[in-house]
Amino acid sequence: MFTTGSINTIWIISFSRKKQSIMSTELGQTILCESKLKKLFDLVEMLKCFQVVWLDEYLQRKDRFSKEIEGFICTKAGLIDEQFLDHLPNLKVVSICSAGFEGLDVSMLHRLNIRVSNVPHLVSESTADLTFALILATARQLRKNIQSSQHPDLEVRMSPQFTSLGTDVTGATLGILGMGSIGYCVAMRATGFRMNTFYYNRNRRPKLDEDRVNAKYCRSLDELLKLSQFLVVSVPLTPETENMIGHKELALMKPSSILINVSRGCVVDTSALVEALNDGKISAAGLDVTEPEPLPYDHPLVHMDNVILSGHSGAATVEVRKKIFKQSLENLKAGFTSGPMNNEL
Amino acid sequence: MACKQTVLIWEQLERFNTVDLNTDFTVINVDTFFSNIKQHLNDVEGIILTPMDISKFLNCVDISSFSNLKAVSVCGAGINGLDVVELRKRKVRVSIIPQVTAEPTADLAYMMMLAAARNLTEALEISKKGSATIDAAYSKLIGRNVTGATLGILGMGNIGYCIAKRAMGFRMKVLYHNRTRRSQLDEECVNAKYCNTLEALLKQADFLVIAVPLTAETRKLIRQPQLALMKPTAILINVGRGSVVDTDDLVEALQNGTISSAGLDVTEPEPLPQDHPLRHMQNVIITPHSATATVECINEMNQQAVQNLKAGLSGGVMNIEL
Repeated sequence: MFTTGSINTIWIISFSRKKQSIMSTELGQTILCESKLKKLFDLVEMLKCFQVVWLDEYLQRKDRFSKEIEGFICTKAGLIDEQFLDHLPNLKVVSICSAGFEGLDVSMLHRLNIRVSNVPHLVSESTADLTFALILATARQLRKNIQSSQHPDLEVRMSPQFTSLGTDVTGATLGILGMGSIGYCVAMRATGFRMNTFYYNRNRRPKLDEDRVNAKYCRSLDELLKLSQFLVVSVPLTPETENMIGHKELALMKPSSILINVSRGCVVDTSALVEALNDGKISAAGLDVTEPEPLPYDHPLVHMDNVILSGHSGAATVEVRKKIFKQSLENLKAGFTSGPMNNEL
Repeated sequence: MACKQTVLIWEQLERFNTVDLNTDFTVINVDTFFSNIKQHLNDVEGIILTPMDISKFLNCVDISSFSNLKAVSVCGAGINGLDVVELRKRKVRVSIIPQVTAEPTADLAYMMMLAAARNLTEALEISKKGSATIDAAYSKLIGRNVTGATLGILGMGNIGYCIAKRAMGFRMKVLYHNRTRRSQLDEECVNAKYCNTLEALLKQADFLVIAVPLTAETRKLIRQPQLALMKPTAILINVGRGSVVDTDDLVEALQNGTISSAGLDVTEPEPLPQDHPLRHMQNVIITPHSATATVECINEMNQQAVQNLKAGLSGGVMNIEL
């Protein structure tokens, strides 16, 4: 009915249903775990110390485990609402196995004495790598190049300068919207490509930070939009940043420019983006996130040669998934044993 | 009035018409040339063509049959079989443009590394087929870090060095193997460590980038025994020449999981025939020799090629003359 790495029957028999604050280092609690994490096979082994209930099975039979569940490892924290919590009277710890937690009312959890943590910093470098994957793939026309190399006509296969001509990344002007850890890591990578880097952020970074990555501060978003050849959107999703890039903003950009979004889909107005690409207001887009996500397969963005979709894989490397999972497991254990969490919300 | 010299230009210069040659020369294109070969073998004094054009040209015309040829300005870095020694004997000046190509080629190498490591082509396929799911990022799309990985550069000339420069921002560990070791200063600037042997490079590389020119020594340098030394998770990127790698051995290595995936801007043969196995493998990205296919690079090369031709025909300095 439910599965774990290895079922230890002794734990099941001796498990106590009392609500208790566990001060010891003993584990064995029943925890809820988001089902997609099942796919990380070797990581599931690490959950052996707990009784694991997978979310999809739980949702089908809520009553069976609802009172036993004391912890929850999740990636989409937004599904935790009042109704969800009503069924989990003994929930003590929510350990979010990702950086983002939009839609979650953290204060609601605090009112119920539930500790909650996320893992904010481990994704920065791999997301910055993916950002560069998108910058290079759009600039150098990856889709058209692949098509050209597969074309039946020999002449087409031999003349990329006519059929799949790209633009230089080296030496180009990079604009970073949102200079948090991800934006900063992107700027770091840009130095090797001799890019001319500008950024716009709520708060200006200290000069030492700017000098290290050779980045110049723009006083306004409009200024950043006008001068960028590559615009990287790497802000967190907040009420202020929702639909931050719409018709007006896209119109300010250069016709040769390329938009890269590694923040959240709804930071960019999707239909405005489609229109801008169709009208040649910008030349290409690289999107790790979209709204909706994923895009339906007949969506215009899916079929444009100058659009690359990377499927929200900013943190999708073997190394990073392992690190984040390990950290969220540590956070879960810390939550049960009153230890410090990294990062507690 | 001085008679204008006749120059023969190829398609790339014709299509990207940023430099007007017509003021100084009588310009003919390839179609015009072949419509009256006898006359033009006599009047053409200068030729501008790309390395790719050279092989096509040599298949149709014997270059020694030009009676008044004075300068050949190659619009690129390679000579692709042009017999420079023979041409110099006949007092024909030949130039190439080696430097402009290095950075766009290095950029393409990174496009390949990142696209292969992060499964970009897989993501594209998933989105087009309608099997895109939010969970794909937890299964099919899981890739490998470029950050912190070991980069092995085979061939540390202009291109290899540009590749090394870009690695620092990704905190990569950079190893290289080259005919001759670079100076200590060069190595320190890009934090690169020399590998005495090719074997040592192959064993350690997470990403092997091939950036050597094609010579007698480098032809089929990478064969089954070399591929067998590599990590099963390794990714091979070739931006040098296709013949440096034994194609059949590469196919086998990719099929058997001896290495994980490949990004090839150059192949042997080039282009690959439609039914070649490399075209149909999910873990292979192929681009049609696009290392220099950017607007800026093409324009820059065209301009320099024209300057070189003018210099070649007027006794000036070509940059660089072979």
